[in-house]
Amino acid sequence: MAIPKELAELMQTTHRAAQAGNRKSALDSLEAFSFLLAIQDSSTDFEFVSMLAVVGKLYESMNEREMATLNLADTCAFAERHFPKTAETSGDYFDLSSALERMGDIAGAIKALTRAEYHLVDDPTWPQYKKGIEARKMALESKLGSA
Amino acid sequence: MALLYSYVLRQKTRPSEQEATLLVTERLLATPELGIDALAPGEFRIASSSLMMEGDVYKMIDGLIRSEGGGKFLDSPDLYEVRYIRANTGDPPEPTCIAFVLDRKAPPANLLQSVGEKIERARQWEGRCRLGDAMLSYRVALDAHPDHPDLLYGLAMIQKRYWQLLPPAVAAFKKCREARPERIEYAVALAEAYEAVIAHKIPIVGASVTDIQEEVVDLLAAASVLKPDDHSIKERLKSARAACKTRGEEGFFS
Repeated sequence: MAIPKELAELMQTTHRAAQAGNRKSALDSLEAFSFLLAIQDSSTDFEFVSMLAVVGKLYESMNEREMATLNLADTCAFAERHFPKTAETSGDYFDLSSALERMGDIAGAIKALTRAEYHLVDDPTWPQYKKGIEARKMALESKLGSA
Repeated sequence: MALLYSYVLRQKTRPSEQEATLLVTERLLATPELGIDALAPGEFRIASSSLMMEGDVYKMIDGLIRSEGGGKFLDSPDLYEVRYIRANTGDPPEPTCIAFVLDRKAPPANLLQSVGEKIERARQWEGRCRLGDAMLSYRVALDAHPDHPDLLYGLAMIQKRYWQLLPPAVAAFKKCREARPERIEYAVALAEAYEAVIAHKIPIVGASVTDIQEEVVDLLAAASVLKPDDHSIKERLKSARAACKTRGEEGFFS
């Protein structure tokens, strides 16, 4: 995958600043990364969604959970259009569901899980995940009902 | 199923675009049994025509569908379903047929993120002053809904802050204005973007500074008509008119 040089450098700068605990610097360079990614149009759909997901991982590494979750939802929006009915898109929605649950948005978590299920049902791996996803959905619904 | 395309064929008088949109919307709301739960993102279109001769609009509407390039809708029943509604519309009422083309392969609406969800998210990014992420969010949303005025406007309002991004901002505001000429904020935003274009001496092919300045005056005048009690718009219009007069013909951009 070819990542533009400036983006690769900003990604590294953000990572290093986050590792060093320099939160402000990390957030600044991550903002520059997002800005550049938003205005460039040289990447393929796969490259774009991969770099978009990197933003979320970097927010996560800085313990910025809300922004990591917002990014995950953006990633899902792009993936559902360009890579529908794939295990990868399903996985993104599954991660979004978990993130929303951690933030207390149970209705959102159920919705994301339903979408994760939709993107996986035609995949050969579906039978092995079916029970787990159904059980998780029931648990979320019960959590929503008791809230 | 998602609605992809609508066609309206009336006996004598051709419905205007606005009337056709209204007719389609009314029928959609009044006929839940159509089973339409979503509009296909960025692809929903309406075509309308009149028969202008004797004949049954119900039998002739497939001809309209084909003449508008929709033959694939009729020839691929595994991908598309066409549902027809008879009605009497217009004043005086005339026999009318409305055809709805549904996309069989589109997932149910609740399994795709809605425009509303995407707009809300982009605004959340803006609220956190993460403009790069907000632009990314708008870009992702526009990828699925390319002509949505609120999305175009949201992205362009951020682009407008950076002079290098003024050209795409101007293009987006123009689209917004074409789609919803009654929205004051679109007219004002386009006027501001043009003013910034002049201030940064950004060349616009085929337009002089005076041309753009006059466009600013026209936009602010339109905004002022839409909101006559807004004094700030009136003041800006006055300044724009004055600037237009003093500037005169300063030469042309390339």
